[in-house]
Amino acid sequence: MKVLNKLLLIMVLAVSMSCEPEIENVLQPAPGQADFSTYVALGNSLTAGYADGALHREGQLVAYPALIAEQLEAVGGGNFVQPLVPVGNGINGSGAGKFELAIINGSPFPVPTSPDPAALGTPTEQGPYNNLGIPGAKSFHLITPGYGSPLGNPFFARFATSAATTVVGDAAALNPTFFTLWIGNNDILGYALDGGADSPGDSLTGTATFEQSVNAILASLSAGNADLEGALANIPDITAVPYFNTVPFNAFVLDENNANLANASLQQQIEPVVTAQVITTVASATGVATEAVYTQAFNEAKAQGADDATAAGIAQDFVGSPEGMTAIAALRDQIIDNLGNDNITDATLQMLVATTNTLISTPAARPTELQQQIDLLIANPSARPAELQAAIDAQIQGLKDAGFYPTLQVGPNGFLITDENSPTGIRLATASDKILLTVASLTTAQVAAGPLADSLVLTVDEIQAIEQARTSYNTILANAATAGNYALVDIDGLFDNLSNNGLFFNGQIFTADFITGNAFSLDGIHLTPAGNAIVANEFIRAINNQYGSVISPLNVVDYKGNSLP
Amino acid sequence: MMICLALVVSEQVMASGFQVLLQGNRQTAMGNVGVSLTPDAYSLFFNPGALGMMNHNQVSVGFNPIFSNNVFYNSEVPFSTYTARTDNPMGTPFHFYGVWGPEDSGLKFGLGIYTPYGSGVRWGDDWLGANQLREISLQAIFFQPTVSYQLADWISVGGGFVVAAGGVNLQRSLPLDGTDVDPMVELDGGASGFGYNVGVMLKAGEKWNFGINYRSRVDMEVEGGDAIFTVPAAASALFPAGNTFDASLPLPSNFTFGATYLASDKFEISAEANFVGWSAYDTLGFDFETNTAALEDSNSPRNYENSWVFKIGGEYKVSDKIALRAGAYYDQTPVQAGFMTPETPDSDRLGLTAGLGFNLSESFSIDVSFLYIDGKERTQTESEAIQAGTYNPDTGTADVVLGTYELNALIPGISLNYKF
Repeated sequence: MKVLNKLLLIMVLAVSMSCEPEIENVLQPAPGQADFSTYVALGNSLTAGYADGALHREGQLVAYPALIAEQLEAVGGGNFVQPLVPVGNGINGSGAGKFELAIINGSPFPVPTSPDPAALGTPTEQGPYNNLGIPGAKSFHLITPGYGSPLGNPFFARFATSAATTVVGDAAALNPTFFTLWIGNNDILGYALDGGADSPGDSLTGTATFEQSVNAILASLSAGNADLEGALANIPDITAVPYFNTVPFNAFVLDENNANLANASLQQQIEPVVTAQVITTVASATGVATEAVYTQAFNEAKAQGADDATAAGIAQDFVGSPEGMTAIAALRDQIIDNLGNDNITDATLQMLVATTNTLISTPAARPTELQQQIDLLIANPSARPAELQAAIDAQIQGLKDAGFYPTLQVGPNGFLITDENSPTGIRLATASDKILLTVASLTTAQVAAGPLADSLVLTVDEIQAIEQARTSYNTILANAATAGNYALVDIDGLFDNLSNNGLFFNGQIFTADFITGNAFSLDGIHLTPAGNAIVANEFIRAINNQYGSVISPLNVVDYKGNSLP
Repeated sequence: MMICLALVVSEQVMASGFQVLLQGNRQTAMGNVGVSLTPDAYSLFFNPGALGMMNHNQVSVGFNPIFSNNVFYNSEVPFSTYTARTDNPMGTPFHFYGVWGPEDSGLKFGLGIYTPYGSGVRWGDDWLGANQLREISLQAIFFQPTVSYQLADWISVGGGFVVAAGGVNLQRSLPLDGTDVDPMVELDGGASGFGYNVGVMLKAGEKWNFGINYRSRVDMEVEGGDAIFTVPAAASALFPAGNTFDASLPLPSNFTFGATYLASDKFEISAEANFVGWSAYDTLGFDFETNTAALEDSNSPRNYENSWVFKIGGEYKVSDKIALRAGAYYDQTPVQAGFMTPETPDSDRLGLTAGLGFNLSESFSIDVSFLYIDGKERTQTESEAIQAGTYNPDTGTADVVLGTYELNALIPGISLNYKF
């Protein structure tokens, strides 16, 4: 057995000496031409790690700058301190906590949690802070003194070094060697989140302001360090995020009863108004035309030597004659046809149209007789001449044909939305309009009650305005990157790919779909941990390409999407 | 939410490298040649035809702990420095052979019990490819009752019937996230199959032995294995509890022929070629009892190709007590480009072997062996995987993890023999 013991000993030795296989030519991390020792990140909620509709600690810990900083550790990156909120549900601007998924009617749906007011208090970590992402910040906010004051942004006030400081001032105070800047989303997102309603504070930032802001930010950062390196991210198509694409334009589904009710309501809403408009218009124009024909006949009689009383009698007879009535009708139609015409050359017609417009728009200007006639025709359909009723019917049919007087069908319909270009003020949404996610929380009754508020819809015109601004911003950002020799991070292209094709990582599929797409968190705008990793990798790629560094990308599968209950 | 459960049972555990090498520590030490060696009890596996020429009875028992390592490098992702290593469980294949025959009858009866598939791969739950594989283990025990008969001085034939029993356990992450669970699937099932092992041994004079062996394909059938899904409650309808699966896994046929030159009483040298019928393994299907929108039956292409193993080995008897052995073999991979799943990070392999035999007494001896397997570094690219159909660039469905793989293994072994 001694031999056996020796043999076992040899075996154990042999095994302990066995070496693991080594792959040749494994890349080693390298900083290239960049100095990553002090990294500051500037931006908005995306940079802050805001997610699931609130600023909360779990989101902060996987904010894309924090993930980038983790990867920078291998290439000389230093500490990356974040203004962390306490563990908990966090808080948002409306005073709610983060969303969590709950099973509602058999499907997971986000529900808000109770807020943690302490999240607006002093961070749990000591500053100075390397992550200067401020939820809600627009480009010019980063250079606005007092943005961190109690009157400014509470998400900056909680850790600003002074009430008077600026975000970029606090960033520059760190003497950064490297920065990332992703700003501009809110410059268009605020407008978009408001459904393009353009309420105060939510207008699109002007191109000039945006350019000045970006240049001022970069100037401040590089003031103390001429060799500053960094990366600028461009602005993706924010209207492609789930918040604007989850509720289909035609998710207004009605059964027969509700369709009938809604149509009756639309009829009630539109037809009396249209009828009154047509009656008022026709009656006013008729009045003005009658007056004009009368005056002309009167003047002609006077010219032939009649005295006033005789001329008045002749004129009165003429307007009652078939010939006179024909003349009145012709002039009436001419007036109506020119009501919207601003370039009438005939001075007489111009005056008649102006008078008619005044009568239509100003009830007080109408003679009692005219008002009485209008009231009678509105109240009593049987009093209307056939010609007038035909005009009313034609007007209603015209509105229907143009889509401004929708008829709702049983089944899916475009949502009823407000539109200032519609004579009725409403129309049905089309595939080119985007219905905001908040509509998903409205009841059918609320939706059926009337058109969606302007703030719940991005119309095609508003989308175009956003797109125009975004394109200008991206040109400015690209130019700034070139001018400063900074990396340009094409988040625009990345998100295009995400929403058009999906992104795949080792059996994990990410899309721009709400909840199940796993790239966007439960608020439909901000990123999941995995979404942050995807964005961080795009930064890393651009940085590597710009500075010849070897920073290893993150493994996206290591990060969570939306967690199911 | 379509989660393709294209599951693969490991080439690693059934690769030629692990498949044939550990059924006798004398042979293992000699580059795993065995089809034409001077017969002993191990021949029950290597060439049952040779047993008829054995002029003693023998009982042998042995085992070979497998220490294998795989390394992965995320080479297909630009700038990635990520690497991962397996923490493979130690495989513990064993073998037992008993061979007995009436004296001078030329007839031998035997029973072999051996575990040609007894290893596993464990990448863990936090590596890049956990959605493809966390770990897999496969056990198979072959029972082989055998009879052999020496027809003449120069020829002996034999054969055995193989009953295989075993089990498979496979675990992978599911591409879901849960608030309080780590979504995963575990497939666990027993498997069984049948086959045979036949051979012929020829003696040409005093100096030359020739052997031919054919071990049949064994289809291991899993019926009603447990498909255990750990998922968030919100996804439980997609992954119902109590689900089961059926699967079939072909273990390939082996055709081996070789020659041994008996240079002297002290020295013999042997070489052989082994043709492995891997093309049997063209697809791998998993048939779930309950299918859902997220859980469809899978049929994944594997398209293995037949492969060759070339072996050479020798034995030198230093004295009556001690024999020195050494050898080497070259093992072609059956796994084609684009089909390297994490279960099958296979490549061409070089095996280097050495060992000793000790005669402690007339009847009692010990064989020890060391086998070092060096797998060639091998890279799987995206274009290869797309071509192979193991990665779909339009849907993101991936059976494979793109990257560079390498493996090695160190396998000591010991067998005890009793002759009577």
